[in-house]
Amino acid sequence: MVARTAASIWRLRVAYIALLCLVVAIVSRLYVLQVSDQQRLRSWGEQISVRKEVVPAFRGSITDRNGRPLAMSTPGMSLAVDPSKAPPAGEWLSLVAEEAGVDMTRLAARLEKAEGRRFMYIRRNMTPEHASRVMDLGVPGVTASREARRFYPAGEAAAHVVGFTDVDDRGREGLELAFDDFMSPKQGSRWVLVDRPQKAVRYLPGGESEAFGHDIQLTLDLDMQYATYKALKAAAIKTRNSAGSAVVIDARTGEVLAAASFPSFNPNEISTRTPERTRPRFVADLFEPGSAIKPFTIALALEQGKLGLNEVIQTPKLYKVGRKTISGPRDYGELDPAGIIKNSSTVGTAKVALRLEPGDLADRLRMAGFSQDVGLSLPAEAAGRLPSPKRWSEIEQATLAYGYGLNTNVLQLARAYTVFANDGEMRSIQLVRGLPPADPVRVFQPGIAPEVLAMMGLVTEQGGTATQAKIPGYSSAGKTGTAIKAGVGGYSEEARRYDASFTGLFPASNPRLIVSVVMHDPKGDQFYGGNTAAPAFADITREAARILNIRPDQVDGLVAKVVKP
Amino acid sequence: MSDYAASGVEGYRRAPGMLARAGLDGPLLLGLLGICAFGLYVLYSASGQDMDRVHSQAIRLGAGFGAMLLVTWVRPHWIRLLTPLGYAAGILLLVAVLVAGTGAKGAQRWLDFPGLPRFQPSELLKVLVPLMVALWISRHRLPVSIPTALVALALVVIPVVLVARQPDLGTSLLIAASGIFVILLAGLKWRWIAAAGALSAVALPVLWMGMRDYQRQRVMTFLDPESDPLGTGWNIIQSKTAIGAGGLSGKGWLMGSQAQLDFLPESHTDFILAVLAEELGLVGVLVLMSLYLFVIARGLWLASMAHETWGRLLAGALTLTFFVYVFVNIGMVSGLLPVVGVPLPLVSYGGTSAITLLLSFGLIMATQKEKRVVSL
Repeated sequence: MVARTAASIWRLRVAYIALLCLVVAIVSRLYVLQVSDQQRLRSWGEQISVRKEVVPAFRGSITDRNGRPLAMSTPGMSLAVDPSKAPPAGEWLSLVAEEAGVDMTRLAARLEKAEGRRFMYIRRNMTPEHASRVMDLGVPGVTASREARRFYPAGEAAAHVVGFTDVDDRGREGLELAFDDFMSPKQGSRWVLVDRPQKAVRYLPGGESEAFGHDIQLTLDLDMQYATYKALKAAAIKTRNSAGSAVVIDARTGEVLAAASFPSFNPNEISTRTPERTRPRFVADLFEPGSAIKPFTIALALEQGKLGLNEVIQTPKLYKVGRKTISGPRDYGELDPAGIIKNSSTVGTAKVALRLEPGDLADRLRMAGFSQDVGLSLPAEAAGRLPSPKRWSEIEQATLAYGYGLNTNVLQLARAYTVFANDGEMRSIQLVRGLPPADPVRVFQPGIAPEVLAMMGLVTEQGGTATQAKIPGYSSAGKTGTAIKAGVGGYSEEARRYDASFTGLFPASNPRLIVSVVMHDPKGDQFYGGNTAAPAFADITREAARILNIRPDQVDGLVAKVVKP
Repeated sequence: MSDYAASGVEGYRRAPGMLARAGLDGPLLLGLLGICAFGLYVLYSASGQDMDRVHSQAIRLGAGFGAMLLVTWVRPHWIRLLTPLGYAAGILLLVAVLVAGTGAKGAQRWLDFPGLPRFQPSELLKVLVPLMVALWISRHRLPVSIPTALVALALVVIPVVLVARQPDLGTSLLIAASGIFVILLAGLKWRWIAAAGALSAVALPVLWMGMRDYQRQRVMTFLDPESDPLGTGWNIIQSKTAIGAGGLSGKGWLMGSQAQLDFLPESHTDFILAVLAEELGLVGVLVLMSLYLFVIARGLWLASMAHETWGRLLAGALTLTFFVYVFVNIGMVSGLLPVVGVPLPLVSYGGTSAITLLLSFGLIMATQKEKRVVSL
């Protein structure tokens, strides 16, 4: 038995106090962690267990007028690697490279360069199947993330209108660039709880909801686009790979049904994108329209009463204007206005032009849209220019009348020709549906344009300059244009280069379409609009008649039917 | 009133009598059952809602209570008689572990006899050392003489060194504590205690030299956990984060992100308190601590009620060891102490520890038997 001495009781008390102190120490420690420091520790904890994840939203699609896709986003995958977590270069590299479809040696070199970084793309914009095959290899540090993949079903046929996006899904060319903000999606985000191996466990409330990009619908008709591109390509090959463009617009509404440019590229393949190929020539390439302007000159003179419908004009081969001499291919003798158009008489047109007030024709051409951009907001669009000297010299007046001294793109030219389909009113161009069209502009007084349209109907008939534009069963009206390209220091006689065009209305009796084709620098012995561009016009209208179900207006197919109201 | 006496209250009155006849202490048993129940509740969440784990832990706890019953049933005389034998066997098993033990992570801690469940002999020493030292001291006159104290110290140091060699720093410290508490309770002179303190201060550098690399690493990590947040500091940062994230009332049972998402290592064993703190908050921790303190207070009260020196020393030392268990684990998980690998008693998943702890509470209850024999 132990005696309970005072000392032992005191000793016990010390022990109890020591215990109490330890209990207090622990409780106060827990208090500090759980109450005072709680905010800091909780946010620390969330930092490692909560991640912000991007919720991909897709870019808007581009469709033709019938809803057929021209550009669409599909789910794609991006493969990346964290070089610090990846095993040292070895067999896995070749396996990954093979499944991902990238070059092994290049991948190895890039990986070596990325040493010390935490992130490197292996390949972007892959199909989910390919990406999952790589992920199945189970290489540490290799991750896949969802990404939209842009696809262009119409390929090279509509490439210039649609344009393309870069790997970051931003528009780079064409409508993809023009409507980039409109079509761009808003990526959403969500908070996700992850466990230690960074696997998502569950989603937490909060984050931003994603918003898909807006779709745009074009006035383009995909079938017309294919037909136009095909015809253009054939013409380009026939003229030994010249460049060119062709557009088809609805004569009544100004809607663009097709717009093609050659050479083209496949927007789905980055490697085919060279500046030469991606150039949307129908808005970017300016050329002197040449004789295509003559109908406007005649129309103005008719309207102002300075030329009679049945008036006869002498058209010699050479004609002196001031100190310059204008030459035609030959002496046409006496020509009425219809004859001037039909034969594309330069001398006749110059004579008529000199009857006009200086500057009047330039003003009219401006009203008809020359030097005015077509308002499609397509990047690379060039508006062209019209001369506006303070004092017009006679030669300037004369050359403008047959299409020199101004330049235009093919879409402007086609737009100007809507004047002849709408009794003197010009229709503005539309490409994207839903945008309000600009008001029509009256260029010529009523009654004038149909007369000129009838004259242009002769161009494709026997003896005209563009008989190759004609297709059986249908009347066609139009005007060729063959301009010598201005080189350095003027129009050189040596090694002549041409811009050859044909702009026409189809069918002539009741125009539904305006088709304009231009070939730049056709090589070989064929360089006139009548034998380079006009055959493409015929190809396009032949397809258009079928696609748009246009009724034939010349059942006999032999006799020109000139409509005279 | 008669109804009152005839119904439940009558049964209630009879119950302590029944417990007492079995040698059990009602309040202590109730407190322990409370801790175990609470522990299983937390374990379900900490083990990732693994009911199998909870089952096997419940079976072990059941075995522990069985051991407790066995010890309280045996007369203390027999316990004392068997103590030297048990102690010797324990030392032999420790040697066997060093020679033929199995283990993991560079430490040999388990014995794997065919036909027997795998167990850690070092856990047994947590009970055998205080038993042996208490027996040794109670055979001598008090206050303790120097030679008696030195022999007692030797009885402590031998198993402590053997366990430290495994190496198992946490357990060896606990064994040392359990033995030294007996000596301290026996009434060592203050100047001897002071001298021992000074000596251990000198021994600290020596101890440092004798440590394994990973043990040193743990101490370094304790001193500055942020120095290696992804390596050895990870555990402590994660557990502090989990505790802090719980706040006052916790995120709710099964809702702790640190614990449930594998960020917290050892979440169902040594670091289970962090799970409790994250999910049930400071309130939950205080509930558990209240249960612990109740059990400790009851244990100390029982120690003071024992009439025999042996009983008082043993019950006191075992209770204080239990306290050290709780203190070291919570201190370690909350970043007050280095990570030494001490489980949270009766709550952490683990068999041998739970059984020896309940066995030691059986011994505490057993010390009360002789009091009754004397008083009757």
